[in-house]
Amino acid sequence: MLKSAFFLVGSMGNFLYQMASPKAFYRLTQPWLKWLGISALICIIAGSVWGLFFSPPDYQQGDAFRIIYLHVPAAFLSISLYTLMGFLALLVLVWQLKMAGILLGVVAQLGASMTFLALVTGSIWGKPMWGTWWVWDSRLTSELILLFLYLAILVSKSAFSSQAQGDKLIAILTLVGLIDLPIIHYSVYWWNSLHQGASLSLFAKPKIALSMLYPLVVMFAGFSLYCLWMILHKARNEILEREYRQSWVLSSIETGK
Amino acid sequence: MMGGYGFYIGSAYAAAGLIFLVNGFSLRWQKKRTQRKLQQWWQRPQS
Repeated sequence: MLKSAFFLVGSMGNFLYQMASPKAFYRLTQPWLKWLGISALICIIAGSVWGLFFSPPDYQQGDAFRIIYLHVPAAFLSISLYTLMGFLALLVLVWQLKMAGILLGVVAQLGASMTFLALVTGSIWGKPMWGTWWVWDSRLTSELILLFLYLAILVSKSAFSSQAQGDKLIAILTLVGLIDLPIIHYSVYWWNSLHQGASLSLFAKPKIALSMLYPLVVMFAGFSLYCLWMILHKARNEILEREYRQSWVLSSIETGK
Repeated sequence: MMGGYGFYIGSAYAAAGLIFLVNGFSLRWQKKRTQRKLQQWWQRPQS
């Protein structure tokens, strides 16, 4: 048992070590793209149809609760992608990994789009439920700050002609912005808020009925796979853009691998 | 349809579709820009 655990950890470490090289990343991720894209599409379509037409309406919110199937996965990803960026920022600053710098900018693009979607769908959900599109509530405001953080990171990245310098700056900005994540999560408990508390937790029984939860889980999977698919596409493109002088780039494009 | 909330649910899905579309176009634009850069490099005058 212990031996297989060590083997698993060793293999994972070896795989991640390989992926730190842009050339290996470009080649190893090629076969994943098609399957990730197809799986994301199937999950999003299945989750949407299930959530919209087969899960029961909420006893208080009626059918308006169905916005949950877009809002919650987008909000979850807005936070988890930023957490991933925090990890990548450490890799940039401590080990100066080029691949981590490439991924940092790419993940920020997806994170910004998911945060924007979470805010827009939240606003659309808020109108029929709260009677207003927007309030300067602690949860909404801290999520808006997260969007500004993402935008600041994206703008700062493009302001540097030296990519290494740009990567370092956005890594520092990312680490500073990490403070917003616990504020977003605990805002509904620390302050009086219109926004409801968490319905889902990793360690507690879900507070929503299973017939509503299952399509949500499928949508979580779909959105996560979509983000991973997009991140890989964008990262592979960024690798070509940065490494265009290398001879392997030409041979990779010619052979389509 | 949808208990009178069809407009809100439809708007939320339209927003999600728009975000996916913007991400798709952004990726396409980035790929085109990279292709141009690569072609310029490969077709550079050799000294």
